[in-house]
Amino acid sequence: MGPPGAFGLLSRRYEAQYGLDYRMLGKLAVTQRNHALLNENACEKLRVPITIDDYMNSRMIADPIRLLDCVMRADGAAGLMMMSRKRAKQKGLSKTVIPIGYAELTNFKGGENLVDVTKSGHEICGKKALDAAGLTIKDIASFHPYDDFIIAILLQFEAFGFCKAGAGVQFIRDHDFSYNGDLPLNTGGGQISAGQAACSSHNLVEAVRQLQGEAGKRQVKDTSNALVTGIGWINYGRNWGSSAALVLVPE
Amino acid sequence: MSKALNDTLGVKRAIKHFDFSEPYWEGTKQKKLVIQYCKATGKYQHFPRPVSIFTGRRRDIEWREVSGKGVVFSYTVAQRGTPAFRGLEPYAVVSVTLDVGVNFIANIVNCTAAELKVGMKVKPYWHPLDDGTHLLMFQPDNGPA
Repeated sequence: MGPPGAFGLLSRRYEAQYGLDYRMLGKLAVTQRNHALLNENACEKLRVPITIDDYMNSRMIADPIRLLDCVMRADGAAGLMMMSRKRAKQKGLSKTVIPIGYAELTNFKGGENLVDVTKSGHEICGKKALDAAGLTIKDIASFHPYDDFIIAILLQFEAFGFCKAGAGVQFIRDHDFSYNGDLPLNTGGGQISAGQAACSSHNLVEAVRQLQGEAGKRQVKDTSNALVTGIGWINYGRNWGSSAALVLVPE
Repeated sequence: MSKALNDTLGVKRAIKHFDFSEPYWEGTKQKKLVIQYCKATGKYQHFPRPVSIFTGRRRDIEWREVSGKGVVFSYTVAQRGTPAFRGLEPYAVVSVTLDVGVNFIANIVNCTAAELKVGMKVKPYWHPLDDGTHLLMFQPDNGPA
């Protein structure tokens, strides 16, 4: 069945439970693509403008998953230097970013057999990471969720508490996720529009760039923090098996 | 979705059996759906595991035959299949909630795209494999039993 099929099953179930306006998923796809247009490091093949109609008309892969829902593998690399504050000071590095909250959860509801597939471990590890950071979800200045399929972003809006379960479509309708909007989202294009070169490191590197004020034309105004997430694999009949959340702040 | 759905019956299947799932495959030889039941909690689980997911214990597991009837929990229609299924698109994959409360993912046959809905009733369709076992697929359940 492959990952598109697994996310097709998730999407169709979400639609049956809550209704799903696919044009709002298209809005997320367009927002991320616009960010990739401003990111010179994004995969060149993907640096072509798209519209919500382009999203809606892109060919079905695993109905209701369309081509423009899917992440594209690409060649590339990403790297971060991690060190103690002391070492950073010795090296004369002036721009540093600090992880102040991290949590992950594997095997969400593993002791239950029949689960609500629209929910994930992010609802638990998201709270833990935010608590550790002393923040609430409303404090988040920019959001860099793992994006292998567009629907995963909607599910994470709900799991992290940006909105209630089932209210993701309305949340998308009500907010501007551009780099200069009220909740900047995957400002480098996300994996879906920058290319999945080194798995979720793209979104992490982008968050670090933003907090260092080095994001060029797509620089967000509020660099007080960033929330980066990870997800891993789809279990049989469940949502993703591993959920991670990381809150970063500039030093 | 105006196109008819294809079945995937012609695909060569090579399915690996784990030791702990052998009772499941034995059952399919007689077209019986036999799944794991946890005696300690009174709940079914699927897919087969070495232990009860409810208690973590091996000794709580027994195998019970179930009807295989259920309702569609979700579905997707593949328009771009994985390599073994290439050329057979469109075909549907369903997740079915069996009447004993477990979800089972399989192909569906004898079903048009227009019919396929979350909540529709389905029953087993047993597809014979070369090794004498059968692969469980689903088909619409339109009539009384």
